[in-house]
Order: sequence, then structure tokens, then C-alpha cells
Amino acid sequence: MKKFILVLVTLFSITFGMGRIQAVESVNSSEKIYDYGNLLTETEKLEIKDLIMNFINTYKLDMVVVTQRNYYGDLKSYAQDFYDYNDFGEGKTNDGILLALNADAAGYEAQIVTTGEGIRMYDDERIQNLLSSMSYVKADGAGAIVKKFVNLSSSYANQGIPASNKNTYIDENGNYRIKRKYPVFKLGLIAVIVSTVILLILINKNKMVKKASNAKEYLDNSSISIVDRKDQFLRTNTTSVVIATSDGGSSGGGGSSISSGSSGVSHGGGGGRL
Amino acid sequence: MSSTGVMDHKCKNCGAVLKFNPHDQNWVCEFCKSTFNKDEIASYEKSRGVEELTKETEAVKLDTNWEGMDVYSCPNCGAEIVADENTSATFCVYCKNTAILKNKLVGEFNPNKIIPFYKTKEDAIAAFKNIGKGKILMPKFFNNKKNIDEIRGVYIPFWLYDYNVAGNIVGEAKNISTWTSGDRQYTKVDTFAVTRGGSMSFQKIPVDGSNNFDNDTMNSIEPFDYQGLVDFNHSYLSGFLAQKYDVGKDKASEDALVRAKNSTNEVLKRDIVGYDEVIITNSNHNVSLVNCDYVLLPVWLLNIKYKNKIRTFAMNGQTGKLIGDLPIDSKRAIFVWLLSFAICMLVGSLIWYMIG
Repeated sequence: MKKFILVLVTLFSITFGMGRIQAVESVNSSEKIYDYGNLLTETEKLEIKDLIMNFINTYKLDMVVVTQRNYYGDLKSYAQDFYDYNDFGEGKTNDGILLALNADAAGYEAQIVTTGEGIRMYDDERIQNLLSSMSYVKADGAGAIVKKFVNLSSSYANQGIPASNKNTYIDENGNYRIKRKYPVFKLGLIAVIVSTVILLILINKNKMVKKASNAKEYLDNSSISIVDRKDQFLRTNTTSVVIATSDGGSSGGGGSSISSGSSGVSHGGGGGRL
Repeated sequence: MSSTGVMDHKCKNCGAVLKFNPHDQNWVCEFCKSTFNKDEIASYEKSRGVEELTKETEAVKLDTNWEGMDVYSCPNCGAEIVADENTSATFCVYCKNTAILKNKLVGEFNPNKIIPFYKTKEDAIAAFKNIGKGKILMPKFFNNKKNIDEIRGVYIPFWLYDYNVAGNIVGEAKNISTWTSGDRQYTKVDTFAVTRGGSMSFQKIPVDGSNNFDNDTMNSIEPFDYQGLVDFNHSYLSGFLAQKYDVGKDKASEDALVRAKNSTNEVLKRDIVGYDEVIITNSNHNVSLVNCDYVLLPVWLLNIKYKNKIRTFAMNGQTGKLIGDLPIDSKRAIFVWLLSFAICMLVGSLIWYMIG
């Protein structure tokens, strides 16, 4: 029985604990294009690398492309770990964007992972536009998909941080944060009300002369006799109102959805089948 | 005894005037320090006989209407004593002797009962010095002893009403329930007509019978412990001022009736249970007066002179409850408001920072 339990615990650990960490290749981070799926021609690789290096130099964001063929694991986790466990990223917060492209019998699956300032640069709307645009050229092959990704990413970077992420920042640990506006008027209003109530209570303590309105201290409790009790139902009235619901938008006003890789680093991005 | 006389109690040892001592409820001679209890005084005065006592204490009423005041001759030094028509005990301003104007305490003005003073002048001063505890808006030196302009122990005329009240109340009671179904929140209100009727008794609801004293102030020093009521004896007045009533029991009963009816409504309303909300729409009362006593109750009155303004404080001469409206130090009030505001902002900012 004990052996059976031990086996169960081991299987559970492997499935839900260790299984989260994807096996990723250790690479030279300067190459930028890692075509493990052999989806790109050499010409395409050279052309795309030029575009990527231009992007990196212009916008101070790293850009990585990794391909797979018939990858059946979790492409999102693979993509995040590939970025995190290799030496990618610009600056202290490893700013950058990565495209993981997997080809299989059904077509292409793409996963975009953003890190650091890349999270702010590519909000959910831009990620969806990237995926849509890549899907639009999928018939032209992986090279066209990757080039579309690089070009459109450059175009977005050229536009700067989108409005949806203007009130966000990346902290020293690379986490995506919403800039909170100090609620000076709300706090001030609450403070005015509270301090006025306190003052009125204290003023009332100085007013010790009160008008007597009842005679409860002179009531003989043993004399109380209630002889008439009538309770008659009159009517019932039922009303209803629609419950107001929030629209479920991104919390705190930020425009990027966030998830964490096995390393604990925050990432934005998105993906799906093209 | 003459109906216009002034009366004091004399020490049987030296003949000096006796004063009532609230501490031990005895009478003390301030000249030879002899102490007498009530029975000893009564026995002594009885042994001397009414004739002798009257001769010794009687003073001629010099004028019946001197600018609206009555003028008496002090039986101790012969000086004039001026008192308004409602004063029944006062002092001679020259020899400081207590003068009990017994003609003001006869007939309908003869009180049924009295609660003697239990608190002394020193108790009143000590209570006033402590009045600032927990009252941070009070000006710093307001409760300084030197601000006490005048302090008087006064027996104030009160009417005590005993009532039987039969009453009923009519109103609406509601039970409110809410629930959610789908995207709607429903509220159901069940309304009931409720009636309660019953009777109860009130004993000794006090109303002050003098126009000279503010009713709210006199209400605020309640309650008196009626266990302390004793049969009226003018010897308790020695050492204190006293007033006779100038508000009759019918007129004064208006306040007592309102209080009794309100309390009747409260008791009946308390019987309406099992509802979330009760609103009384109508009430009726049948009040019968069972008894009405005319009594004198002890009050220390302190006139406080602060910034050229006189404020009156009153202390229950039996229980020591001291009341009066304290002035507000505007600078302190502004400081307290600003401090509260700053603390609120600081705490709010800390919470805002921590939840971020």
C-alpha cells in the first residue's frame, strides 16, 4: 500500500510540478533566429536577421525567432522558457519580443512572448493584430509569416507605447505594473468628512445640557401590562433591479495580459493557430 | 410664629446660628463647634416652646413691596434682608446668618418632602475642577478655581408626578427580504398593520417649579435618588438658599406628561418584534394623575466668569452630577480638525501604498 502511495505521489509531482518546466535548448543569444523546425531558407534567415538586428538597434528591444516542427508540448511555456533560460533581452529588465512558430500537419501555430518593456510596447490589441497579419500570409510559408511578424513589430515599435499602456511601467524585477494615480481628492474628501465628524463629536461632549424627552428612569417596570396585540398582514410588494456588472477589462487600466514562465518572470503576449 | 418672620436654628450651648452639614447630615455650630442631629434640634426647640422661639427669631417685615422685593429684619444683627417674593431661605449680607423666611414655606408652599444636600461646596468646586477630563476643546484655564464667580447651594422647588398611563399605538411594520436570480436582484416587502395597547405607571417624574432656572439644565442633573427624600423640615435649609415655586403644578405637568407619553410609546413599540422596520403613525393616551408632591431638591449653582461672560453650571446636590455647556476654544478646535485631517490623509496614503 505504501509503495502504491509513493508511486502516486511521484507521478503527481512529475505531472503537475516538474512537468511545468519545458526542456529548452541552450543557445548563443546573438544568433536571434533558431530554426529547429527547418521552416526557413538560408536566404530568408539572412534577410530576417538583418531586419531583426535593425529592430534591436533602433528600438532597444531584443527580438528572437524560434521554430519547431511537430512540437506537441505547450508552445507558450516553451517560448517563455526559451527566452528566460537563455541570455536574451535588452537592459536590466530583459526587454524584448519572441516569436515561436511550430509547423505541423494542421498548419502553423504561433506564440508571441513579450518581456520587460516589450510587454508595454505590444498590448493585447497589437498582439492580436500581429497574429491576424501573420495568419493572413500563412499561405506564403513560414518565411512570409516571420517577415510579417518582424515588419509589423517594427512598425508598432516605431509608433511607440500604445495608449492602453501609457499608465503602466516595468518594475526593477521586470514585472508589469499599473501606474496608480494618488487619489488626492478622494482621500481629501474622506479626511474632511472624518475630521469634521470627530470635531462634532468633541463639540457635543462639551454640550452637557440636554432636553429630557422621556421618563424611562421613572417607569415602574413591574406595572407594564400589554393587553392588546394585533398584527394584520396588509400587502406584499416585490421589485427587482438589474445587477450592475463590471465589463471585465484588464485590471487597473493596463492594456496587456500577463502570465509567468517557470522562471517566475512576467510575460505578455499571446498565440494560437494561424 | 409670625407669618412674616425670619427664622434660624440656634445652638443650645452658645446661641449662635446652626448650619446644616451635608457630610454627616447633622447641624454644626460654627462658633462653639457643637454638633446636633435632627432629633436633638427638634427636642431642644420643642423644650423651649413656640412662644420663646418665636420671640427670639421673629423679625418684622419692614416693607411689603420695596421695588418688588420684600424687606425683612435680620433676627441676629437687625440689618435689613432683601429677598424676592420667591425666596424662602437666604443670608444676611452683614452677619452671614442664614435666614429662613418661614412665611414663604406655609400653606400651599409648604413642601411635602426634601432631599437634603449630600454634597458640600468643596465637592462642587472639586467637581468643577475635574470637568475638563476628556474634553479637549475646553479652553485651557476655564476650569480654574479662580474663574468661579459665585457658588450657591439652592433648594429648588420641584413637582414630582405619579401617573398611570393607558395607551395604544398604531403603525406599519415591514419585513424586507432580498434575493438574486440571474442578473436581477429582487426585493420583497411584506407590510403589516400593527397595534399595541397597554398600561403602565410612572413614579415621581420631576419638573422644576421655578421660572428662575432653565428646565433643560434641571433635567440634565437628573436623576435624584428618591430614597433620600425625607419629610420637609425647614432646619435642612440652614446654610442654603431656597426658592418657592412660581410655576403651578398644572402648568408644570405639561413637561411631565410629554415625557410619560413618549416613554409609553417606546415601551409599546418595543413589544413589536419580528419585523425589520416599524413606523408608528398614531398614538393615544389616557393619563391619570395618581399623586403630585411638592418637594425641594438640592442643587449647587456655579456661576463661572470667563472672558467677561457668566456661564451657569449646576451640580446635583445629592449625586454630584455636574452639567453645563463648556465653551469651545476655537484655536483648539481648528488644531484638532487639522490634526485629524492630517492623520486621516497619512493613514489613507499608507493604506493606498500598502494595497498597491
